[in-house]
Amino acid sequence: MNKNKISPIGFLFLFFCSFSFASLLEISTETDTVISELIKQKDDIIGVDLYVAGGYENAAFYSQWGHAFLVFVNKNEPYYYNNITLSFEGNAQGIDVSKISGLLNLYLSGAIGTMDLIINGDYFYYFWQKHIFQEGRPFERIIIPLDQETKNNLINKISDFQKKPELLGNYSFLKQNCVGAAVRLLKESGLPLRKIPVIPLNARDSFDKSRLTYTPSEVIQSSYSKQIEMAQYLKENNLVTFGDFNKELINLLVEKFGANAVYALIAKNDYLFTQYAADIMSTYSDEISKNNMLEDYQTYPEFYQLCTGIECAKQVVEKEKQVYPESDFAQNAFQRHLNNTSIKLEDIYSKHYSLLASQTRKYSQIIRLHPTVNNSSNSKPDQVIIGDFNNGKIHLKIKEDILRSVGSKKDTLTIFETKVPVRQDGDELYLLGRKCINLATKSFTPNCGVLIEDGFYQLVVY
Amino acid sequence: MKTIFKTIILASFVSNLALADCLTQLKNSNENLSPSEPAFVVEGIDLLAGVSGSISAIAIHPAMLFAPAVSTTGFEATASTTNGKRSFTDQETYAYKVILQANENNVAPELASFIRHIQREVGVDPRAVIPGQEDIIEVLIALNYDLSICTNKETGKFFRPTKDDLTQMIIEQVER
Repeated sequence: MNKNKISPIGFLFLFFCSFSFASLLEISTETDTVISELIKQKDDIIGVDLYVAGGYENAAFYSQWGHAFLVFVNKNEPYYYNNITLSFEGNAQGIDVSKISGLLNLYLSGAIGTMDLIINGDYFYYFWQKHIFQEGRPFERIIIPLDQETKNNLINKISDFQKKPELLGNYSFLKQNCVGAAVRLLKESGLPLRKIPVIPLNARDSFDKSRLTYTPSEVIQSSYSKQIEMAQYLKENNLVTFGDFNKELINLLVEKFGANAVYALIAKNDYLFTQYAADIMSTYSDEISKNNMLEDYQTYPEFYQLCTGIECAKQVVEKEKQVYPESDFAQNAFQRHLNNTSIKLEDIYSKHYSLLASQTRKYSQIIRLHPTVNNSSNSKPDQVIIGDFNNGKIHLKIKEDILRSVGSKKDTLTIFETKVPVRQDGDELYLLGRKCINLATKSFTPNCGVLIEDGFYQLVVY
Repeated sequence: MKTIFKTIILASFVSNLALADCLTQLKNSNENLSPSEPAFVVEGIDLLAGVSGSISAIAIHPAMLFAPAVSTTGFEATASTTNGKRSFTDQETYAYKVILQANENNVAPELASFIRHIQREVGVDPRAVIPGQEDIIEVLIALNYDLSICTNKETGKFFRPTKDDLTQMIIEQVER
């Protein structure tokens, strides 16, 4: 299961690949070595993070739906970026992609599923370098705690794949792609997932629907994304030879595209890197340290616990309050509140979810609403129609379809009238001192809504 | 250990101010061999962006198959000995990156991989004490400022260290 080497012909066509590939080789580790380490670390693994690298400008068309991979979080690893990471990929070795026939073969193999599925294993920093630094893509992190049994099953399966790679089966675009293979493996190991995502960028939705996302999404943007724009600028202005590069040009590029993009571009050329990198790093140190692998990614052991009691849940929620931005915490808390109304305590994951919801609830503000009018309506779905909200009194006209509840959905317009402190700030309406309604889109903000709980309509805002 | 290295860094910095550090000497040792050669070739069709012997996402939209887009392909100045100087090899560039990025507050992937490499090498001896990340970074910084990382011990002459040279020197230092 050696790491794949690039074909010399594919090399010619690769976006930014000639030098970036060389540097990636320098930092890469054999997949076998990494998997063997993972098996040894089994007792120290507390969970996995599913990462989705977003689509990016000028990406190959099959990369526009993102790429997903799994990070195995070791409780004893002080630096998150050293955690072992596995990516499930189609093996395109032997396909001559320099020819249209080869390309068609590549896509056909992916479409009908005749290409081998392989594991590309390394440390998180390798994937950071590839996707954040070289491709300028954002990362979304989905934290997934693992119970003992699921974890053991998962690592045992990976160990089996190492011994018999053919057990992985074939890669296919629509079923066994990067996210499909990774998530199916989790499900087969015991994670109670209802649905396997097909598109990497939709992975979060699948986990949300299965009540398996407990923390807000952490999305970290890449500050290296303007490389392509800069390359086009250089081409248009015929600034492509070594002789064209000097301090003035570097400064101009930094001004136009930012120090990070310039740093990433020159990192693809040995000569330019040794000439200008040190200067850029010292002159623009604040900007260069924007994507900081050390600070951006950390392990919070609390988030990998599966709670069976209130004390544990309290600890997790307090940590969330401490770690996440207020708006992310509020949005996640509302979603958790909403989902918890329909949860069935069938497994340890559901119980964990429910415990967290009960502990998050104390951060909510709830007002019971009394419907005053019910009548048919032709108003557009997904709209909150605001009546008069002067003097602290508000009329909320809400099409029942969008009531955030599991109650019956009728095609009616329900009008609530209640007295709540209301404040308008631009397009945003604050209820109970918290952002709740977007007046421009006439919709609730993600941290707010009207639910039917215990048979009553309630305005819930976090 | 930390204090010793901080002292070395400071002392080396003061005493070698005139000679600068290895990074500066390395930079000065590189020569622009061919000013007219392209540093970057900006052309081609970016159908294959991201292919590295494997594909890792999904494809649905056939119409995009032949959509051309501008891509950039690097052009490497080949190693040459013109005027007695030559451009960096990959190994030398890697070492340069590791020295340049030696910073406890913002660890870059090259440095992270180098640290793991050192720890693995040291770990071959089961009795050895594996050096921590901070220790390795401090040694790197110190060796850069006192010029030993780019000075031949026997001849006292400047040389460009490779990954292997760096590994050997760091292990010697951390095992002391």
